[in-house]
Amino acid sequence: MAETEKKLKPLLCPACFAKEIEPIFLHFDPEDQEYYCIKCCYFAKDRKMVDLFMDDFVRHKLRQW
Amino acid sequence: MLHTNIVHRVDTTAHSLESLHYQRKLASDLAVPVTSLISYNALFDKTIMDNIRSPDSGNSEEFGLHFWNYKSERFHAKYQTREQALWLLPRSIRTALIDEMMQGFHEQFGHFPTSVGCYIIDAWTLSYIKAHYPSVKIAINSCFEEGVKMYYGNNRNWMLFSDGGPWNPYYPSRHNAMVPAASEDESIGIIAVPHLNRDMIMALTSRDDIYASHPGNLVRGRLNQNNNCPYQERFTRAWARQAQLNGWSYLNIFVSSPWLSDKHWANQNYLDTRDLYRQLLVLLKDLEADGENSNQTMNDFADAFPAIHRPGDATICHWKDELMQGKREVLWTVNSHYRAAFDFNIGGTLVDLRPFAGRIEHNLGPETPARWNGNQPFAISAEHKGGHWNSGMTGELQLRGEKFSFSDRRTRISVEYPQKNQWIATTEPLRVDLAGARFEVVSQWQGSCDGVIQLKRIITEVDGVIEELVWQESFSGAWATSEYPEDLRGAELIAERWDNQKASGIALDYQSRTQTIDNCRSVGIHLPQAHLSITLEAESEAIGFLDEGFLFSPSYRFRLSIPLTPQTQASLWLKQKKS
Repeated sequence: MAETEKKLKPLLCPACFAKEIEPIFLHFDPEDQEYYCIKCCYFAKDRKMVDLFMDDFVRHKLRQW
Repeated sequence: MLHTNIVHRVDTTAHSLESLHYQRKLASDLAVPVTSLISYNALFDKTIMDNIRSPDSGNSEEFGLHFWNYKSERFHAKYQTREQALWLLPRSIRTALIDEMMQGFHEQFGHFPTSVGCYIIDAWTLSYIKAHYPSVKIAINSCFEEGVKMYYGNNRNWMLFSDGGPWNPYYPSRHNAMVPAASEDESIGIIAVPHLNRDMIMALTSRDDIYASHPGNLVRGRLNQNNNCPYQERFTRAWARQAQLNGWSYLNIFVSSPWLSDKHWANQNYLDTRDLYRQLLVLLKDLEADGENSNQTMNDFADAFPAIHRPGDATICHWKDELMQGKREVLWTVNSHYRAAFDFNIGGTLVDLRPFAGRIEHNLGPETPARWNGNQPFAISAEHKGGHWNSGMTGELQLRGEKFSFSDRRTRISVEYPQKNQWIATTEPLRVDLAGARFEVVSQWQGSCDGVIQLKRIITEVDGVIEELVWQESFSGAWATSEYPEDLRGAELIAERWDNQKASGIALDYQSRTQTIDNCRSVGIHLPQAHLSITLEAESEAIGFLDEGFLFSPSYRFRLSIPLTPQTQASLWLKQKKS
């Protein structure tokens, strides 16, 4: 579990874009098998959902805007 | 039982009056009692008052006064100021305006009102109103957690600062209207209710005007799809559920009429906003029919309140994520000594603490030191100080060089209110894998109507060797009303030992000094700025740590390390005392 958390900590929250310097990162809840932001109310069951959100919304759409 | 006040404001523009007509007719059709607070310009408009005094039907409608929207040629000619907020007016003008409105009300209705309101009414002003118009029983006097974030949310144009007060009705102190009185003697004698109820998670993490008991603001936040907004129903039922804890709950619905108008900038389609407002009132009628709610005028609530809540009583709010419907839960508690918020998204970290015990005099306006700043100072605010690392109280377990931080784990809680003024919050067991040992840990917080919160950590289901397991609880604090630091010099980190030998302490001067105290009984901070001390006290021998901050990190920290073996459970007490 501790190992899993370490790997995931560099993820920023795709919803509130919490910044690294704050260190506010996306965490993983082993009880509910869910990623969650410790600052806002974002959560996702699947790592792919997180990546999809980041790729689709942040990387592509925000660039277009 | 939920007690609901539906409040209207009587304004003067044509679109406001058209919307108000809709609101009053709807309330009348549904037979929902309402309180209509009349603003300055409407009060002195004969046509409007003649119209208002002839109700749309025989529905129960109370009239009172609202001290906002007084800007007008009449006001300016009379008082020679463009100041637009009652609480910021010079006191001589403030009292003259109140007197003028009270007399105007008396001329219209033959009596003085029992209910008044504004976004902020300070203690000095409430005391003036009570002394000169003793008929006033109840006032809308603050906007819960409208402060720093609201200032940003409204593009630095909304100078309304009322962070740090209660969300529930209470009896304001003579010293500070945002502080609940501890006794009848300390009370001004007017019941305070909030301007709207807020989403209690968003009140911590975001601006909370959008996430409120206000359909117009839900539309402003685009939480709706046309006239569909399931969040509104979840939000309302969540407030009804709070009654299961405290024995009562309160809901303030104050939608001023422009929000329901086709002229309002926030509306996509004002008919959808109106329909959401209608759905809200219908829901409240349904809850009333089910025995969960009582729709009342403000006057009726003022009469009911003393039987359910007395000066000095404590209340709590256990709020779940109604917006995203995720696992996040927070717990708020307030009494006459402090207001505290715990975030179980980060393991029950104390993320906001407003100590009231020092009873600092706090009023607003040009004659006061605070001037415009109605925010109550915080000892902890994770949101304003860059996270719970800088400002928060949380714990960790230490075993053979490895650490487990409670703030790294999200958890759910159960909350009990076994008797009046006693609350207990208990986490579900957390499975911990630490230094080759496996065990479960349960955390429990207990509070009452004094300045003490007990925190207990309980270890169970142990598999492996947990000798030398240590619990360290850490309080990182600051003292400010906003994100900018205040000067902490004058404050002193303090400690006590079980052998009564005095520990030297650290007078704060931004030098990053540290101190370790063996045989430690308590550690804490003496804050002369707040006339109080905050301490963490152990039940048996502990090791204490004092950490002074520095200018790049202008906070302070005190910690207690407590052995968790062999008894596998321990308690400590967070205490706030006037000093």
